[in-house]
Amino acid sequence: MKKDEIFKDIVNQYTAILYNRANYLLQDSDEAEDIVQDVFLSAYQGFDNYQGRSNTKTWLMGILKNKVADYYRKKYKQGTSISLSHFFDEDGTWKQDHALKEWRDDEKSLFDDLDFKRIFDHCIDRLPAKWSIPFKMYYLDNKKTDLLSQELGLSTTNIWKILQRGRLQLKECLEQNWFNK
Amino acid sequence: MIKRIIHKLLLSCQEATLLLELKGANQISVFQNIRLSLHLTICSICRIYKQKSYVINKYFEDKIHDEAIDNQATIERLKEKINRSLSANK
Ligand SMILES: [Zn+2]
Repeated sequence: MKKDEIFKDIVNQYTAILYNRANYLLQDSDEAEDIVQDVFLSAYQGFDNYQGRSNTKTWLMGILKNKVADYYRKKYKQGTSISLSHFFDEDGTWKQDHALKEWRDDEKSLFDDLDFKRIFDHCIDRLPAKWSIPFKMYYLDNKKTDLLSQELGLSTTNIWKILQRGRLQLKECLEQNWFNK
Repeated sequence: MIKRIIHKLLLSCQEATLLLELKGANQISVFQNIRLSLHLTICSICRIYKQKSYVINKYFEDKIHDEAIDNQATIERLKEKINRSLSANK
């Protein structure tokens, strides 16, 4: 088969999975479309070097990850200041009383509940992209913070803070929309 | 009151929640881990937070298996667009 035909197959086979991943990471369908298009352009240009070296999906997902990292670095080049004053007082003690309230169910029964998942995904969507991109990529990178720090141009200290801040916000959103409802 | 003093001397809740992140990634040092464990023995709010953060962590770990969003029309349109831009860039 000629390169163009092979490539047409690749586009046909991998557009959906790349788009879903891009949409998940960027929370913006227009940006996701642009970035996927860009991934295929780079992939096409690099195709001769790539051929068969790794699994096609791994190869394309890797290009996508780099593009998302570029996007993040360009968009958020100014330093991140992360305030926790919503959650803690100046001594670093919890501000909210409801922090004491336990969640009623174990995660198995929660994760089987489609309504809970819907609320969870809604809470993820509500995180600002500045935090949610590193947060999600942390899990996609299997918690390799050194790698993530290089990719996103963030210090590891800032990655820990973003994870902390993002998780506190998710916790609050879940309590407001699910546990304390 | 005593609790507040211990918090201040040992580790605040704000610092404890940060150390929980390091622990979650298996990157906590022995010394940090001791301070965190001591904090957790005296602080029930952080103990409860630890449980909650574990649930959130688990959700993301499970989520990595990409769920297919059903948006066939968007995908087909995007494929067309990509194929057009590829021919234009040859
Ligand atoms: Zn505490």
